[in-house]
Amino acid sequence: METLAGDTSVGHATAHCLAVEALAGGRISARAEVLRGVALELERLANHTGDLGALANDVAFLPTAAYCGRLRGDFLNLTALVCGSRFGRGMLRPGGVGFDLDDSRQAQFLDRLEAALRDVTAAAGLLWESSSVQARFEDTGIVSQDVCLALGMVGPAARACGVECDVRHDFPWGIFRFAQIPISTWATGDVFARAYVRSLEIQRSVEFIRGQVRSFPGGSLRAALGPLRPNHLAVSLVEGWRGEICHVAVTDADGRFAQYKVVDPSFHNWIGLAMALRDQQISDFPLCNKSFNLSYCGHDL
Amino acid sequence: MFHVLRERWRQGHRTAAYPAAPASVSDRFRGLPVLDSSKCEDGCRACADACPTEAIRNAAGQLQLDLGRCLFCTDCTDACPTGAVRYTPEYRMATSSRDDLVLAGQGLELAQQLDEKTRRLFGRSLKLRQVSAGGCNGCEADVNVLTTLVFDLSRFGIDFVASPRHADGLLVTGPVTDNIKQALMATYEAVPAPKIVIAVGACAISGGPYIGHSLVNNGVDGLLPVDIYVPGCPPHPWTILDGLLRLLGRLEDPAAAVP
Repeated sequence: METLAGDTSVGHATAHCLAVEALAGGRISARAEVLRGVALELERLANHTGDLGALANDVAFLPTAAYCGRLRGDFLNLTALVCGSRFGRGMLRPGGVGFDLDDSRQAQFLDRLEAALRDVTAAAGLLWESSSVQARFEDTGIVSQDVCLALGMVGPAARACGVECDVRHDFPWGIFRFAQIPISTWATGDVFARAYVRSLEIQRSVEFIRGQVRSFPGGSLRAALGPLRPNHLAVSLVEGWRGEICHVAVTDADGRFAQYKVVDPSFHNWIGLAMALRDQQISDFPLCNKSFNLSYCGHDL
Repeated sequence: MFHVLRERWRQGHRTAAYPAAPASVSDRFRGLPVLDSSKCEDGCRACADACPTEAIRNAAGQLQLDLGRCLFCTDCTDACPTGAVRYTPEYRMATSSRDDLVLAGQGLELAQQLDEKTRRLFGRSLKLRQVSAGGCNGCEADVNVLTTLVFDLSRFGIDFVASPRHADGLLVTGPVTDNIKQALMATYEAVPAPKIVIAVGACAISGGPYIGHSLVNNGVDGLLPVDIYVPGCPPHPWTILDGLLRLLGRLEDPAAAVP
């Protein structure tokens, strides 16, 4: 499940664990729930930061492109600090998590998180105050709110059309039932909006992680799960960094998977990218494409 | 403009000192596994049964682990009752031959440099075409990150190019799905000779988690002549860079074997 889309390893692993746990009827500890939330938000931070850098690169604004390329790695390395893998491989396990953020590494974790936030905030700030960047971002690749709703777009691309949709808010699971992250939206539906929503979400994800790590609950890392219930269906929804991830699992009479279907957010948003490109210059394709940053392997599932 | 300059000064110099200084990885990084068959209890198959890709097995009391299949997950270390399998933070793992990836108590023979004629051609300038042959984008992302300022791949004269016609070789990721096979072969044909092939990640080496799937070709091995294998799921960027530099004879310890 972690290889459905490599950059969304944590998102897809979360959705898989939720489906399995729903079928097995297990309960996981508060500590494991928090660690899962932290891993998911770190994945969002890394990818949003990388996207801001890639957008800057596509309008030839190299300072932010260079800084964000490095800072994306800093967030990935924070994930590696917890679980050894930059992509969070092995972090989520059915029944809990594979690794702990123990007390001895929390201080280092928070220091590195704050340093990365400071640098990414400054790097993104250069985008908003540079007229040459704004001239390329604003009014480029507009998707109207009506089109967004008609297509059923998800994630930051939908929130950049002013649509308040976020699985963490609409169908909260795990730690998000208790620690709500405000939905970040922007109304203009253009490349600027898709960049700016990412920038807002970076701030809010860090606030979330900071709050969670400072008040870690106790509990075991991983609970043993029973067998899957036979002839059941489970649907799990997770807000990955691209948007809504949906896993559907169906078990047979022996409690084994009879069907397993995955919908990646890229599937919902691809036509949105096509609509954003209507009547645009061909030279704006890379910029619009990067502002969605969809996954081929996720789309083709 | 002033803010741009101030931020440039504040962000500082971030390119790693590697290869002059060792690369840094997380202390929990799962690198080269170490096998201690003396700890195995008679007839125990716990690791082999737990492994999702049949990478590890106990052959008559001797543990064998195929790095080309290994996903570097924790299933075997979690399952082993005696700690006979453990990961080290050793990131250097690229090899020249597929057989070298199979650990059976011996050290890992790291990749050799290219033959002298090819190395003289590519040693100071290597242009690669990246082909994602059904990859999950994990390997692709950690290859791509080599071009960021931390790794700064182009300081070694290595670059990724947008056409096989401009390339000296292919860097292949993914298990080679049936749908991409023809395009991969055509891309290889389009690279002018002499050319090299680099297989990055468990998928490209063996099929990885998709080994034996009816729609994949179990990686690039057997389809194209591979010059270097970089194991991992995905390999750490340092593992990939180490392999590339080893291939080009750019490291001080070219013939190193790690224990």
